Amino acid sequence: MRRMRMTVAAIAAAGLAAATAACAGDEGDVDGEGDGGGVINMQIGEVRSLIPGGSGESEGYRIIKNVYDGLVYYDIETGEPENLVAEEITSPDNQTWTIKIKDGLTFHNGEPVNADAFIRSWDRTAYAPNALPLNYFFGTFEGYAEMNPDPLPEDQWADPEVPEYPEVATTHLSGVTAVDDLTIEVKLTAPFIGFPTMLGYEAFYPVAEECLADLEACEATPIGNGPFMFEEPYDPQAGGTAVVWEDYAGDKPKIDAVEWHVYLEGDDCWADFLTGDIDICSPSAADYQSAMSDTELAERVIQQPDPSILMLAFPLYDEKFQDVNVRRAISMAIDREGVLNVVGPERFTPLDEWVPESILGGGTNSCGEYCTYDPEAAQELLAQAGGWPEGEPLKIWVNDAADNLDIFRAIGDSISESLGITYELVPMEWTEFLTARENHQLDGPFRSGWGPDYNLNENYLEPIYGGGASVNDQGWENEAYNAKIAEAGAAATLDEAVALYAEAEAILAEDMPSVPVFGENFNFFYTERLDNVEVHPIYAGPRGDCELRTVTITE
Amino acid sequence: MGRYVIRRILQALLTLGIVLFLLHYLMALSVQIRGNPALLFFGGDRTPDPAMLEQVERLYNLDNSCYERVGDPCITPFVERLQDYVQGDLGTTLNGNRDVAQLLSIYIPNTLRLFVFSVITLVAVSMVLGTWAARHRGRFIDHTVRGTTILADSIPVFLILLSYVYIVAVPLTRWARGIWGTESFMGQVFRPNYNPDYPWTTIIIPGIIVGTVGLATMTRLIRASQLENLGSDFVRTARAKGLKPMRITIVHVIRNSMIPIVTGIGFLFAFMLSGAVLTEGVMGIPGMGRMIFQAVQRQEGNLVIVGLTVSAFVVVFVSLIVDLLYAALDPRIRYE
Repeated sequence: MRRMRMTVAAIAAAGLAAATAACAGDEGDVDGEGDGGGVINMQIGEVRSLIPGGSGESEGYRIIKNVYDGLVYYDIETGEPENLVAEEITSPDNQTWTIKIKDGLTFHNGEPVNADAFIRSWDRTAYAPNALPLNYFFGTFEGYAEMNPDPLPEDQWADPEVPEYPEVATTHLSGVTAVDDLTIEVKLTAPFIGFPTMLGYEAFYPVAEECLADLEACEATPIGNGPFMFEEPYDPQAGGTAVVWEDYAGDKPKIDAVEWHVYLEGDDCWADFLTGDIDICSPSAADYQSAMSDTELAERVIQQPDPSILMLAFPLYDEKFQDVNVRRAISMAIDREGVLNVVGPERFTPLDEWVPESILGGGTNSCGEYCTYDPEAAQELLAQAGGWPEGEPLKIWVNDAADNLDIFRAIGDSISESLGITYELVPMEWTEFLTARENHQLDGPFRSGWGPDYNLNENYLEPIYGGGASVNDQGWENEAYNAKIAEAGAAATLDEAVALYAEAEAILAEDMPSVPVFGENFNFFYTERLDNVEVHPIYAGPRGDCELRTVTITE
Repeated sequence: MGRYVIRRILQALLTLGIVLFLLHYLMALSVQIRGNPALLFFGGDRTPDPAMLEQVERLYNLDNSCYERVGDPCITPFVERLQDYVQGDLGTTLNGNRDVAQLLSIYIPNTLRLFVFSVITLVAVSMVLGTWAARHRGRFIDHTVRGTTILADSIPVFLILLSYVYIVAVPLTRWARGIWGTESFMGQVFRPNYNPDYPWTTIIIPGIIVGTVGLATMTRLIRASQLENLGSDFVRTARAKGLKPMRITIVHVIRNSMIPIVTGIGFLFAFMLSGAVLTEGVMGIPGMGRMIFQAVQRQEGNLVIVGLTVSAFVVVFVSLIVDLLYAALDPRIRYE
């Protein structure tokens, strides 16, 4: 489950012009001035929101990152954050950060992009009653607790089963102050070296005053500070067109405009790609073979690793899985290559680490021999752990979306064949699966997937395995791991921190609360009218995407 | 007549009330058994902060403790829901916080457009074929028509849709664009997917495909009822008094054959909604069928209830219209 991407839900927020055919313009009324010119036709899913802090899924972010400029932007080659709106981001101790903003930048409506623009955005997202999906990004900020209080004491609840919360009076993050018009000071609750890396994400983008004054209008026609702007409202069901902003201070895009065509859940852009109505599309598994065997099409494909990963996690709260050798045995019993041949070889790559290679600090091969197929060793390990209970099937829990069942059936077959035990695949509906996983009600390995929020190995470690045994899905806790994560956060440089996080990954590898199975791959095809098509290694929409800031149109 | 209509409307309101309560009860059961949909708000991979979860539950009226007791009909939330509906507030979606009334204003017209084309297709094709078969009763044409429509009806609609989208649509669109250009009607009409820039053009083909659902039933109905009328006494009398064949067909045969046909259309309307779920799904039309299907998957309780109530309303309304049409078509039927 790629986090929000797979979330079926993503209907964008707030009201829009209700006209059924409210499409925002066609190619005729676009008046941008790029170098090469032209309008690119992109597929997009349903977006949840176009105001920073409200989206948190891949589709909304694909628009937001082009309509807004964040403090940093991730370099397409290295993935490292480079200053965009920020002039300088510094800290003496990794806990108090000073962010200087470039002078003279404005929003599309002329409002200045200053310290207040960021602070008002962050306050909005961190304020619990706004219930915004990216609220948790501010959990490390000082003052977050006051805006997101703990429940009242139990004896004050009207119903003993329903916790009640105090009213939230604080509307400003006390850890964030404007030193002057262009300088922000951020105090974190603990040192975190990766802080500047986070700042390129949507949660930290600025918001204009006019936007907060009328959120509904701003959802439809976002007031950003980035290279593209909407002249007419965007419609989550019908899409819309964003043109290049004439007064953009940075490098202007080479195209005139982008038109987003909406493909709702379950729809496929492939047929429209073949007719030329969509410029970039990823074929479904069924169409993939015929696409690759078309020699003309195969020249226009981008294949690169997607940082999303797929894992098989263990319920450590169940006694059957408490011995690490059982977990290792199951991992070594999976013939990853063999499973790939069943489910489509180009769609995934075998994974033997918890942080994929495309992520800063990833590619450590931390799982090593235990992620290598070796049925004899697996049987031996299982025997050492006392064997598998006689006659009991290994239950594998998955949510039955997309082709999860096919993939996990192949994995289950492989485990079953190698270890000589029977298995049972238990499909569950998504919410049911989430609830059971969160409440620690599973009695067998379960599907676990992850896609990054920002380019740092920490993002693959702390959010999934942190929080203690009672909080994370695996029910795993390790003192040494927690200490290492804390140490890394306080490191003096990013390089040191990355190395320390990698050490934490090694501790994780010793315990194996989950087994890395596959890293995913992008397979994006583009039409012949495009050139200089680049796909961002960290942030790309799963069904077809490219960097709109650099792509050109040749025709 | 007036009293009859009032009585029928009151019955309809009662039906809708029962439908609403049943839907509400089922959704409450779903929350109680399947787990809290508020979790979806956070996407899934992350364990939300309890305070945040509480806020979200409150936001969507899911914080009532009845949702934790399996089998509790949750009367209080039901009454609140009805009060909101009466005030014109249809609520918002769980994910994205969108106004349901606004969503309906997008989805309903799309489905109606789809139905317009499918009803036209269904009625036109089955009328022509049925009349044709009736005229040539027992001969080759009759058998061919009956055989072909049965064949068309026994191919599942999703198969027709998928073969259209994946086999026919792409070459056809390319060919048409090569001749008439991309922006022309022909360049758009065969597109494999619905496009909101061309809301009428790109819905014609899906409409026609939905129209084939129930084609055999309708053709046979028309054929049978026309045969019955062709052999009836009043047609013989009309012929005997020297009326022109055209007048006999239109005034005496077709009008009298309309009753079973009108019944059939009313009945097929409910059927077509299930066809619409598939068609809207495959061809990417943001319509009611697809909305209800996805709302069920996404546990968007409010959307499910509103959507199904709208479709229940349509069915009740259409059957009322059908009953009233009987009186218009057959002078012997009078409602008191």
